[in-house]
Amino acid sequence: MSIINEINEAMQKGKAKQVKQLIPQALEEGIPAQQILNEGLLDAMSVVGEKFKNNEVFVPEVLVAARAMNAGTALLKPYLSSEGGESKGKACIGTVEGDLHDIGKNLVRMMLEGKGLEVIDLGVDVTAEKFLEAVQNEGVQLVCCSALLTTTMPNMSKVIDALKAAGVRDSVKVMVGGAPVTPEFAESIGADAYTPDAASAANKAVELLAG
Amino acid sequence: MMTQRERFLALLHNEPVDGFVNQYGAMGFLFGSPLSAIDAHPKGQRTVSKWGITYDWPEHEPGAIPMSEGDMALIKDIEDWREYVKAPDLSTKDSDWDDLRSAMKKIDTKEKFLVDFMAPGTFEYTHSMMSFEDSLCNLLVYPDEMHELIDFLTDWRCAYLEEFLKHIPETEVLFAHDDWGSKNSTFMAPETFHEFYTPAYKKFYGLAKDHGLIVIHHSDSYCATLLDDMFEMGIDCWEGVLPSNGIHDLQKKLNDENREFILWGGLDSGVFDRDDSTEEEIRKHVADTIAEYHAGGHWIPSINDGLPLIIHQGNYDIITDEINKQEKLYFK
Repeated sequence: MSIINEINEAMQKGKAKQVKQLIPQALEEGIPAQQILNEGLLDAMSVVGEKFKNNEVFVPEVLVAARAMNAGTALLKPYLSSEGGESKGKACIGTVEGDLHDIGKNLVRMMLEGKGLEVIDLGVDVTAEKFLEAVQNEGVQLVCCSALLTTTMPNMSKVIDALKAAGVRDSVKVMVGGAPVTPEFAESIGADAYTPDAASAANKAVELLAG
Repeated sequence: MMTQRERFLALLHNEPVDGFVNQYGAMGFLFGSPLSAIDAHPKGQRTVSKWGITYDWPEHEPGAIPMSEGDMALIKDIEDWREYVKAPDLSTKDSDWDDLRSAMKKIDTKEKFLVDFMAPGTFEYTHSMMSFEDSLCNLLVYPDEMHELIDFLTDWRCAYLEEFLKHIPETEVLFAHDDWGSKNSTFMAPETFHEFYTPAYKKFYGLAKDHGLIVIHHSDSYCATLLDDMFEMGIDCWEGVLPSNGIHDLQKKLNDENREFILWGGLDSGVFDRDDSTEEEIRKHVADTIAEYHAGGHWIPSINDGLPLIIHQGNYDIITDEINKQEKLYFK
Protein backbone atom coordinates (compact mmCIF):
# COMPACT_ATOMS: atom_id res chain seq x y z
CA MET A 1 0.00 0.00 0.00
CA SER A 2 1.38 3.44 -0.91
CA ILE A 3 1.96 5.89 1.87
CA ILE A 4 -0.75 8.18 0.44
CA ASN A 5 -3.21 5.31 0.72
CA GLU A 6 -2.07 4.66 4.26
CA ILE A 7 -2.68 8.31 5.16
CA ASN A 8 -6.07 8.16 3.46
CA GLU A 9 -7.04 5.02 5.39
CA ALA A 10 -5.80 6.39 8.73
CA MET A 11 -7.74 9.61 8.05
CA GLN A 12 -10.97 7.76 7.38
CA LYS A 13 -10.57 5.95 10.70
CA GLY A 14 -9.81 9.22 12.48
CA LYS A 15 -6.37 8.06 13.61
CA ALA A 16 -4.75 11.45 14.13
CA LYS A 17 -1.53 10.07 15.65
CA GLN A 18 -0.98 7.79 12.67
CA VAL A 19 -1.68 10.61 10.23
CA LYS A 20 0.87 12.77 12.04
CA GLN A 21 3.47 9.99 11.80
CA LEU A 22 2.84 9.23 8.13
CA ILE A 23 2.85 12.77 6.73
CA PRO A 24 6.53 13.52 7.50
CA GLN A 25 7.43 10.16 5.94
CA ALA A 26 5.47 11.04 2.81
CA LEU A 27 7.19 14.41 2.60
CA GLU A 28 10.56 12.71 2.99
CA GLU A 29 9.68 10.43 0.09
CA GLY A 30 9.36 13.60 -1.97
CA ILE A 31 5.58 13.57 -2.37
CA PRO A 32 4.35 17.15 -2.83
CA ALA A 33 2.37 18.53 0.10
CA GLN A 34 -0.51 19.46 -2.20
CA GLN A 35 -0.78 15.83 -3.33
CA ILE A 36 -0.76 14.59 0.26
CA LEU A 37 -3.47 17.10 1.11
CA ASN A 38 -5.65 16.27 -1.88
CA GLU A 39 -5.26 12.50 -2.08
CA GLY A 40 -4.46 11.68 1.54
CA LEU A 41 -6.62 14.07 3.53
CA LEU A 42 -9.33 15.71 1.42
CA ASP A 43 -10.24 12.60 -0.56
CA ALA A 44 -10.53 10.68 2.71
CA MET A 45 -12.73 13.39 4.20
CA SER A 46 -14.96 13.23 1.12
CA VAL A 47 -15.37 9.50 1.64
CA VAL A 48 -16.29 10.09 5.29
CA GLY A 49 -18.72 12.81 4.20
CA GLU A 50 -20.46 10.51 1.74
CA LYS A 51 -20.66 7.72 4.32
CA PHE A 52 -22.17 10.22 6.76
CA LYS A 53 -24.74 11.26 4.19
CA ASN A 54 -25.66 7.60 3.69
CA ASN A 55 -25.83 6.89 7.44
CA GLU A 56 -22.89 4.48 7.20
CA VAL A 57 -20.98 6.53 9.75
CA PHE A 58 -22.22 9.02 12.31
CA VAL A 59 -21.18 12.30 13.91
CA PRO A 60 -18.42 10.82 16.14
CA GLU A 61 -16.66 9.24 13.15
CA VAL A 62 -16.88 12.52 11.22
CA LEU A 63 -15.50 14.43 14.18
CA VAL A 64 -12.49 12.20 14.73
CA ALA A 65 -11.75 12.23 10.99
CA ALA A 66 -11.99 16.04 10.97
CA ARG A 67 -9.61 16.23 13.91
CA ALA A 68 -7.16 13.93 12.12
CA MET A 69 -7.44 16.13 9.05
CA ASN A 70 -6.75 19.26 11.07
CA ALA A 71 -3.68 17.63 12.60
CA GLY A 72 -2.46 16.65 9.14
CA THR A 73 -3.22 20.03 7.59
CA ALA A 74 -1.25 21.78 10.32
CA LEU A 75 1.81 19.71 9.40
CA LEU A 76 1.39 20.43 5.71
CA LYS A 77 0.69 24.15 5.98
CA PRO A 78 4.32 25.42 5.81
CA TYR A 79 4.96 23.26 2.74
CA LEU A 80 1.70 24.25 1.04
CA SER A 81 2.46 27.96 1.18
CA SER A 82 5.94 27.41 -0.29
CA GLU A 83 4.43 25.27 -3.07
CA GLY A 84 1.94 28.05 -3.77
CA GLY A 85 -1.15 25.84 -3.54
CA GLU A 86 -4.39 27.53 -4.47
CA SER A 87 -7.23 28.00 -2.02
CA LYS A 88 -10.49 26.43 -3.17
CA GLY A 89 -12.48 29.32 -1.80
CA LYS A 90 -13.31 31.16 1.39
CA ALA A 91 -16.51 30.82 3.38
CA CYS A 92 -17.87 32.16 6.63
CA ILE A 93 -20.35 30.27 8.75
CA GLY A 94 -22.44 31.10 11.79
CA THR A 95 -25.65 30.42 13.67
CA VAL A 96 -27.88 33.43 13.21
CA GLU A 97 -28.74 36.05 15.80
CA GLY A 98 -30.70 34.82 18.80
CA ASP A 99 -29.77 31.18 18.29
CA LEU A 100 -27.13 29.42 20.38
CA HIS A 101 -27.19 26.01 18.70
CA ASP A 102 -23.93 25.04 17.09
CA ILE A 103 -23.83 21.30 16.43
CA GLY A 104 -25.11 21.45 12.86
CA LYS A 105 -23.08 24.55 12.14
CA ASN A 106 -19.89 22.86 13.37
CA LEU A 107 -20.52 19.78 11.26
CA VAL A 108 -20.99 21.88 8.14
CA ARG A 109 -17.79 23.78 8.95
CA MET A 110 -15.84 20.52 9.18
CA MET A 111 -17.30 19.24 5.94
CA LEU A 112 -16.46 22.51 4.16
CA GLU A 113 -12.89 22.30 5.47
CA GLY A 114 -12.87 18.72 4.29
CA LYS A 115 -13.44 20.03 0.78
CA GLY A 116 -10.39 22.27 1.10
CA LEU A 117 -12.29 25.50 1.69
CA GLU A 118 -10.98 28.11 4.09
CA VAL A 119 -13.72 28.67 6.66
CA ILE A 120 -14.17 31.53 9.12
CA ASP A 121 -16.34 30.32 11.98
CA LEU A 122 -18.29 33.29 13.30
CA GLY A 123 -19.79 31.21 16.13
CA VAL A 124 -23.35 31.40 17.43
CA ASP A 125 -25.80 34.29 17.90
CA VAL A 126 -24.20 36.06 14.92
CA THR A 127 -25.77 39.33 13.82
CA ALA A 128 -26.34 40.23 10.18
CA GLU A 129 -23.71 42.94 10.60
CA LYS A 130 -21.08 40.37 11.60
CA PHE A 131 -21.81 38.28 8.51
CA LEU A 132 -21.52 41.43 6.42
CA GLU A 133 -18.21 42.37 8.04
CA ALA A 134 -16.78 38.97 7.13
CA VAL A 135 -17.79 39.51 3.52
CA GLN A 136 -16.44 43.05 3.36
CA ASN A 137 -13.24 42.58 5.35
CA GLU A 138 -12.23 38.95 4.87
CA GLY A 139 -12.85 38.35 1.20
CA VAL A 140 -15.49 35.74 1.89
CA GLN A 141 -17.19 34.30 -1.20
CA LEU A 142 -19.72 32.08 0.51
CA VAL A 143 -21.95 32.87 3.51
CA CYS A 144 -23.46 29.93 5.41
CA CYS A 145 -26.25 30.60 7.91
CA SER A 146 -27.58 28.07 10.37
CA ALA A 147 -30.69 28.14 12.61
CA LEU A 148 -32.37 25.53 14.76
CA LEU A 149 -35.40 27.47 15.90
CA THR A 150 -38.50 28.54 14.02
CA THR A 151 -38.19 31.83 15.88
CA THR A 152 -34.63 32.57 14.74
CA MET A 153 -34.97 31.25 11.20
CA PRO A 154 -36.34 34.62 9.95
CA ASN A 155 -33.02 36.23 10.99
CA MET A 156 -31.47 34.50 7.98
CA SER A 157 -33.31 36.92 5.74
CA LYS A 158 -31.80 39.81 7.74
CA VAL A 159 -28.36 38.59 6.68
CA ILE A 160 -29.40 38.64 3.04
CA ASP A 161 -30.99 42.07 3.49
CA ALA A 162 -27.76 43.39 5.01
CA LEU A 163 -25.72 42.05 2.09
CA LYS A 164 -28.15 43.66 -0.35
CA ALA A 165 -28.15 46.98 1.49
CA ALA A 166 -24.33 47.06 1.43
CA GLY A 167 -24.34 46.30 -2.30
CA VAL A 168 -22.38 43.03 -1.95
CA ARG A 169 -25.15 40.48 -2.42
CA ASP A 170 -24.12 39.71 -5.99
CA SER A 171 -20.51 39.06 -5.04
CA VAL A 172 -21.29 36.23 -2.60
CA LYS A 173 -23.33 33.06 -2.48
CA VAL A 174 -25.59 32.41 0.50
CA MET A 175 -26.46 28.96 1.83
CA VAL A 176 -28.93 28.24 4.64
CA GLY A 177 -29.64 25.16 6.71
CA GLY A 178 -30.90 23.81 10.03
CA ALA A 179 -33.72 21.58 11.27
CA PRO A 180 -36.69 23.90 10.62
CA VAL A 181 -35.34 25.30 7.33
CA THR A 182 -36.94 24.10 4.09
CA PRO A 183 -36.09 24.60 0.40
CA GLU A 184 -39.22 26.75 0.12
CA PHE A 185 -38.09 28.98 2.96
CA ALA A 186 -34.61 29.31 1.42
CA GLU A 187 -36.16 30.35 -1.86
CA SER A 188 -38.54 32.78 -0.20
CA ILE A 189 -35.70 34.73 1.42
CA GLY A 190 -33.55 34.70 -1.70
CA ALA A 191 -30.82 32.30 -0.56
CA ASP A 192 -28.77 30.59 -3.26
CA ALA A 193 -29.05 27.14 -1.75
CA TYR A 194 -30.50 24.97 0.99
CA THR A 195 -29.15 21.54 1.84
CA PRO A 196 -30.60 19.06 4.31
CA ASP A 197 -27.31 17.77 5.75
CA ALA A 198 -23.67 18.68 6.28
CA ALA A 199 -22.21 16.49 3.54
CA SER A 200 -24.63 17.86 0.92
CA ALA A 201 -23.81 21.36 2.12
CA ALA A 202 -20.12 20.80 1.40
CA ASN A 203 -20.84 19.44 -2.09
CA LYS A 204 -23.17 22.34 -2.81
CA ALA A 205 -20.61 24.86 -1.55
CA VAL A 206 -17.98 23.55 -3.96
CA GLU A 207 -20.53 23.64 -6.78
CA LEU A 208 -21.56 27.23 -6.00
CA LEU A 209 -17.97 28.45 -5.76
CA ALA A 210 -17.01 26.71 -9.00
CA GLY A 211 -19.99 28.24 -10.80
CA MET B 1 -66.07 7.86 29.90
CA MET B 2 -62.47 6.82 30.59
CA THR B 3 -60.14 9.28 32.28
CA GLN B 4 -56.90 10.35 30.68
CA ARG B 5 -54.86 7.97 32.84
CA GLU B 6 -57.24 5.09 32.12
CA ARG B 7 -56.85 5.75 28.41
CA PHE B 8 -53.06 5.88 28.76
CA LEU B 9 -53.02 2.53 30.54
CA ALA B 10 -55.40 0.96 28.04
CA LEU B 11 -53.37 2.30 25.13
CA LEU B 12 -50.19 0.93 26.67
CA HIS B 13 -51.70 -2.52 27.13
CA ASN B 14 -53.32 -2.63 23.69
CA GLU B 15 -56.83 -2.46 25.11
CA PRO B 16 -59.77 -0.45 23.69
CA VAL B 17 -59.99 3.26 24.48
CA ASP B 18 -62.95 5.63 24.19
CA GLY B 19 -60.94 8.70 23.21
CA PHE B 20 -57.50 10.20 22.82
CA VAL B 21 -54.91 10.67 25.48
CA ASN B 22 -54.69 14.40 24.82
CA GLN B 23 -51.05 15.58 24.89
CA TYR B 24 -49.95 15.89 28.54
CA GLY B 25 -53.49 15.31 29.86
CA ALA B 26 -52.49 12.23 31.87
CA MET B 27 -49.37 13.73 33.46
CA GLY B 28 -49.44 15.16 36.97
CA PHE B 29 -45.87 16.37 37.35
CA LEU B 30 -44.36 16.42 40.81
CA PHE B 31 -42.25 19.53 40.36
CA GLY B 32 -40.38 21.31 43.10
CA SER B 33 -38.71 18.47 44.97
CA PRO B 34 -35.65 19.38 47.04
CA LEU B 35 -33.57 17.43 44.51
CA SER B 36 -34.70 19.53 41.57
CA ALA B 37 -32.47 22.40 42.77
CA ILE B 38 -29.43 20.38 41.68
CA ASP B 39 -30.01 21.07 38.01
CA ALA B 40 -32.34 24.07 38.19
CA HIS B 41 -31.73 26.60 35.44
CA PRO B 42 -34.50 29.18 35.25
CA LYS B 43 -35.54 30.83 32.01
CA GLY B 44 -33.87 34.10 31.13
CA GLN B 45 -30.85 33.50 33.35
CA ARG B 46 -27.31 32.16 33.32
CA THR B 47 -26.88 29.75 36.23
CA VAL B 48 -24.36 27.20 37.50
CA SER B 49 -25.76 23.83 38.54
CA LYS B 50 -24.59 21.93 41.61
CA TRP B 51 -22.48 19.82 39.25
CA GLY B 52 -20.67 23.02 38.28
CA ILE B 53 -22.18 23.11 34.79
CA THR B 54 -23.05 26.58 33.45
CA TYR B 55 -26.38 26.92 31.67
CA ASP B 56 -27.79 29.77 29.64
CA TRP B 57 -31.52 30.06 28.99
CA PRO B 58 -32.28 33.10 26.82
CA GLU B 59 -35.93 34.18 26.84
CA HIS B 60 -36.64 33.13 23.26
CA GLU B 61 -35.07 29.65 23.51
CA PRO B 62 -37.27 26.62 24.24
CA GLY B 63 -34.80 25.28 26.81
CA ALA B 64 -31.56 25.88 28.68
CA ILE B 65 -28.30 25.35 26.84
CA PRO B 66 -25.17 24.07 28.61
CA MET B 67 -22.13 26.26 28.13
CA SER B 68 -19.53 23.54 27.75
CA GLU B 69 -17.19 24.79 25.04
CA GLY B 70 -13.52 25.63 25.66
CA ASP B 71 -12.77 27.06 29.09
CA MET B 72 -16.40 26.66 30.14
CA ALA B 73 -16.16 22.86 30.03
CA LEU B 74 -16.39 21.19 33.43
CA ILE B 75 -14.21 18.27 32.35
CA LYS B 76 -10.95 19.68 31.06
CA ASP B 77 -9.40 16.30 30.31
CA ILE B 78 -11.43 13.12 29.96
CA GLU B 79 -8.53 10.99 31.22
CA ASP B 80 -8.80 12.83 34.56
CA TRP B 81 -12.61 13.18 34.64
CA ARG B 82 -12.79 12.14 38.30
CA GLU B 83 -10.85 15.26 39.25
CA TYR B 84 -13.54 17.46 37.75
CA VAL B 85 -16.82 15.61 38.29
CA LYS B 86 -18.06 15.70 41.87
CA ALA B 87 -21.54 14.27 42.34
CA PRO B 88 -23.95 16.58 44.19
CA ASP B 89 -25.16 15.40 47.57
CA LEU B 90 -28.52 13.66 47.40
CA SER B 91 -29.34 13.47 51.07
CA THR B 92 -32.44 15.36 52.17
CA LYS B 93 -34.52 15.70 55.30
CA ASP B 94 -38.01 14.26 55.13
CA SER B 95 -39.47 17.64 56.06
CA ASP B 96 -37.87 19.11 52.90
CA TRP B 97 -40.50 17.18 50.96
CA ASP B 98 -43.55 18.61 52.72
CA ASP B 99 -44.24 21.26 50.08
CA LEU B 100 -44.18 18.68 47.33
CA ARG B 101 -46.48 16.39 49.32
CA SER B 102 -48.94 19.26 49.68
CA ALA B 103 -48.76 20.00 45.95
CA MET B 104 -49.23 16.32 45.20
CA LYS B 105 -52.54 16.27 47.06
CA LYS B 106 -53.91 18.81 44.59
CA ILE B 107 -53.29 16.53 41.62
CA ASP B 108 -56.44 14.76 40.43
CA THR B 109 -55.17 11.19 40.47
CA LYS B 110 -58.30 9.87 38.80
CA GLU B 111 -57.27 11.84 35.74
CA LYS B 112 -53.49 12.02 36.04
CA PHE B 113 -50.52 9.93 37.08
CA LEU B 114 -48.09 11.17 39.71
CA VAL B 115 -44.97 11.79 37.67
CA ASP B 116 -41.34 12.21 38.66
CA PHE B 117 -39.63 14.37 36.04
CA MET B 118 -35.89 13.89 35.54
CA ALA B 119 -33.59 15.89 33.31
CA PRO B 120 -30.93 16.09 31.99
CA GLY B 121 -30.34 12.55 30.78
CA THR B 122 -27.13 10.58 30.95
CA PHE B 123 -25.96 11.49 27.44
CA GLU B 124 -27.00 15.10 28.03
CA TYR B 125 -24.91 15.18 31.20
CA THR B 126 -21.84 14.05 29.26
CA HIS B 127 -22.20 16.77 26.64
CA SER B 128 -22.94 19.36 29.32
CA MET B 129 -19.72 18.49 31.13
CA MET B 130 -17.52 18.68 28.04
CA SER B 131 -18.03 20.06 24.56
CA PHE B 132 -20.61 18.26 22.47
CA GLU B 133 -17.88 17.25 20.06
CA ASP B 134 -15.71 15.82 22.83
CA SER B 135 -18.64 13.87 24.27
CA LEU B 136 -18.94 12.09 20.92
CA CYS B 137 -15.27 11.83 19.91
CA ASN B 138 -14.34 10.45 23.32
CA LEU B 139 -16.68 7.48 22.80
CA LEU B 140 -14.30 6.38 20.04
CA VAL B 141 -10.99 7.68 21.34
CA TYR B 142 -11.36 7.18 25.11
CA PRO B 143 -13.98 4.42 25.41
CA ASP B 144 -12.81 3.19 28.83
CA GLU B 145 -13.06 6.64 30.40
CA MET B 146 -16.46 7.24 28.81
CA HIS B 147 -17.74 3.89 30.10
CA GLU B 148 -16.55 4.86 33.59
CA LEU B 149 -18.18 8.30 33.40
CA ILE B 150 -21.47 6.89 32.11
CA ASP B 151 -21.49 4.25 34.86
CA PHE B 152 -20.81 6.96 37.45
CA LEU B 153 -23.65 9.13 36.17
CA THR B 154 -26.00 6.16 36.00
CA ASP B 155 -25.29 5.18 39.60
CA TRP B 156 -25.92 8.76 40.70
CA ARG B 157 -29.18 8.94 38.76
CA CYS B 158 -30.28 5.64 40.32
CA ALA B 159 -29.51 7.06 43.77
CA TYR B 160 -31.49 10.20 42.86
CA LEU B 161 -34.51 8.11 41.88
CA GLU B 162 -34.23 6.02 45.05
CA GLU B 163 -34.15 9.19 47.18
CA PHE B 164 -37.20 10.59 45.37
CA LEU B 165 -39.17 7.38 45.78
CA LYS B 166 -38.17 7.06 49.42
CA HIS B 167 -39.96 10.33 50.12
CA ILE B 168 -42.71 10.16 47.48
CA PRO B 169 -43.54 6.45 47.24
CA GLU B 170 -46.87 7.34 45.59
CA THR B 171 -44.96 8.13 42.35
CA GLU B 172 -46.35 6.18 39.40
CA VAL B 173 -44.42 7.37 36.36
CA LEU B 174 -40.82 8.28 35.62
CA PHE B 175 -40.67 10.86 32.84
CA ALA B 176 -37.02 11.31 31.88
CA HIS B 177 -35.29 13.34 29.21
CA ASP B 178 -32.31 12.45 27.05
CA ASP B 179 -32.09 13.63 23.44
CA TRP B 180 -30.26 11.05 21.40
CA GLY B 181 -30.32 12.57 17.95
CA SER B 182 -30.98 15.38 15.56
CA LYS B 183 -34.09 15.67 13.41
CA ASN B 184 -32.91 13.12 10.87
CA SER B 185 -30.27 11.00 12.55
CA THR B 186 -29.03 9.64 15.85
CA PHE B 187 -25.98 11.41 17.22
CA MET B 188 -24.01 8.20 17.13
CA ALA B 189 -24.13 4.86 15.35
CA PRO B 190 -26.74 2.53 16.83
CA GLU B 191 -23.90 0.09 17.63
CA THR B 192 -22.06 2.79 19.59
CA PHE B 193 -25.25 3.73 21.40
CA HIS B 194 -25.91 0.06 22.17
CA GLU B 195 -22.45 -0.37 23.63
CA PHE B 196 -22.40 2.75 25.81
CA TYR B 197 -25.92 3.84 26.64
CA THR B 198 -28.22 0.82 26.43
CA PRO B 199 -26.66 -0.99 29.43
CA ALA B 200 -26.69 2.24 31.44
CA TYR B 201 -30.37 2.83 30.75
CA LYS B 202 -31.23 -0.80 31.29
CA LYS B 203 -29.94 -0.36 34.82
CA PHE B 204 -31.62 3.01 35.42
CA TYR B 205 -35.00 2.16 33.94
CA GLY B 206 -34.71 -1.34 35.37
CA LEU B 207 -34.67 0.27 38.81
CA ALA B 208 -37.77 2.30 37.92
CA LYS B 209 -39.52 -0.88 36.78
CA ASP B 210 -38.51 -2.65 40.00
CA HIS B 211 -40.44 0.10 41.79
CA GLY B 212 -43.45 -0.48 39.54
CA LEU B 213 -43.12 2.78 37.61
CA ILE B 214 -44.23 3.37 34.06
CA VAL B 215 -41.20 4.65 32.13
CA ILE B 216 -41.65 7.49 29.66
CA HIS B 217 -38.57 8.63 27.79
CA HIS B 218 -38.38 11.99 26.03
CA SER B 219 -36.21 12.36 22.94
CA ASP B 220 -37.60 14.71 20.31
CA SER B 221 -35.21 13.53 17.67
CA TYR B 222 -34.69 10.75 15.18
CA CYS B 223 -34.45 7.54 17.21
CA ALA B 224 -36.24 5.03 14.97
CA THR B 225 -33.09 2.92 14.77
CA LEU B 226 -32.94 2.78 18.58
CA LEU B 227 -36.44 1.36 19.07
CA ASP B 228 -35.19 -2.15 19.89
CA ASP B 229 -32.81 -0.60 22.42
CA MET B 230 -35.75 1.24 23.97
CA PHE B 231 -37.58 -2.08 24.40
CA GLU B 232 -34.45 -3.57 25.95
CA MET B 233 -34.10 -0.65 28.38
CA GLY B 234 -37.67 -1.08 29.61
CA ILE B 235 -39.16 2.08 28.16
CA ASP B 236 -42.98 1.98 27.97
CA CYS B 237 -43.54 5.19 26.07
CA TRP B 238 -41.36 7.30 23.80
CA GLU B 239 -42.38 10.94 24.00
CA GLY B 240 -41.18 13.33 21.30
CA VAL B 241 -41.68 11.14 18.26
CA LEU B 242 -40.97 13.47 15.36
CA PRO B 243 -42.61 12.66 12.01
CA SER B 244 -39.10 12.20 10.56
CA ASN B 245 -38.96 8.88 12.41
CA GLY B 246 -41.45 7.35 10.01
CA ILE B 247 -44.29 6.90 12.49
CA HIS B 248 -46.21 4.50 10.23
CA ASP B 249 -43.24 2.14 10.15
CA LEU B 250 -42.87 2.32 13.92
CA GLN B 251 -46.58 1.57 14.40
CA LYS B 252 -46.30 -1.38 12.02
CA LYS B 253 -43.36 -2.77 13.97
CA LEU B 254 -45.23 -2.43 17.27
CA ASN B 255 -48.29 -4.12 15.80
CA ASP B 256 -46.31 -6.89 14.10
CA GLU B 257 -44.43 -7.65 17.32
CA ASN B 258 -47.51 -7.13 19.51
CA ARG B 259 -45.57 -4.70 21.70
CA GLU B 260 -46.99 -2.83 24.66
CA PHE B 261 -45.45 0.52 23.81
CA ILE B 262 -46.70 4.05 23.17
CA LEU B 263 -45.48 6.59 20.62
CA TRP B 264 -46.23 10.11 21.81
CA GLY B 265 -45.93 13.14 19.55
CA GLY B 266 -46.24 13.51 15.80
CA LEU B 267 -47.12 17.19 15.46
CA ASP B 268 -44.64 19.39 13.62
CA SER B 269 -43.41 22.44 15.55
CA GLY B 270 -42.53 24.06 12.22
CA VAL B 271 -46.27 24.44 11.74
CA PHE B 272 -47.62 25.27 15.20
CA ASP B 273 -44.77 27.08 16.92
CA ARG B 274 -43.93 29.88 14.51
CA ASP B 275 -44.44 33.60 15.09
CA ASP B 276 -46.84 33.75 12.15
CA SER B 277 -48.77 30.48 12.67
CA THR B 278 -52.50 31.00 12.32
CA GLU B 279 -55.11 29.22 14.42
CA GLU B 280 -56.72 27.83 11.29
CA GLU B 281 -53.38 26.43 10.11
CA ILE B 282 -52.68 24.82 13.50
CA ARG B 283 -56.13 23.23 13.71
CA LYS B 284 -55.78 21.84 10.19
CA HIS B 285 -52.35 20.44 11.07
CA VAL B 286 -53.77 18.69 14.13
CA ALA B 287 -56.65 17.24 12.08
CA ASP B 288 -54.30 16.10 9.31
CA THR B 289 -51.86 14.52 11.78
CA ILE B 290 -54.62 12.59 13.53
CA ALA B 291 -55.95 11.41 10.17
CA GLU B 292 -52.44 10.27 9.37
CA TYR B 293 -51.50 8.32 12.50
CA HIS B 294 -54.60 7.43 14.50
CA ALA B 295 -55.38 4.24 12.61
CA GLY B 296 -51.91 2.79 13.24
CA GLY B 297 -52.53 2.77 17.00
CA HIS B 298 -50.08 2.97 19.91
CA TRP B 299 -50.17 6.75 19.54
CA ILE B 300 -50.79 9.91 21.58
CA PRO B 301 -51.41 13.04 19.48
CA SER B 302 -49.21 15.79 20.88
CA ILE B 303 -46.51 18.35 20.51
CA ASN B 304 -43.04 16.77 20.71
CA ASP B 305 -41.65 19.09 23.36
CA GLY B 306 -40.52 17.49 26.60
CA LEU B 307 -43.05 19.35 28.74
CA PRO B 308 -46.40 21.01 28.01
CA LEU B 309 -44.46 24.16 27.20
CA ILE B 310 -43.85 25.64 23.76
CA ILE B 311 -42.54 28.97 22.57
CA HIS B 312 -46.02 30.27 21.66
CA GLN B 313 -47.89 28.82 24.62
CA GLY B 314 -51.34 29.85 23.44
CA ASN B 315 -50.97 27.45 20.56
CA TYR B 316 -50.72 24.51 22.98
CA ASP B 317 -54.27 25.20 24.11
CA ILE B 318 -55.48 25.43 20.52
CA ILE B 319 -53.96 22.00 19.85
CA THR B 320 -55.58 20.52 22.97
CA ASP B 321 -58.94 21.94 21.94
CA GLU B 322 -58.64 20.64 18.39
CA ILE B 323 -57.70 17.14 19.61
CA ASN B 324 -60.89 17.19 21.71
CA LYS B 325 -62.89 18.21 18.63
CA GLN B 326 -61.31 15.52 16.48
CA GLU B 327 -62.00 12.95 19.19
CA LYS B 328 -65.72 13.28 18.49
CA LEU B 329 -65.08 12.22 14.89
CA TYR B 330 -62.95 9.20 15.68
CA PHE B 331 -64.64 7.84 18.81
CA LYS B 332 -68.41 7.67 18.42
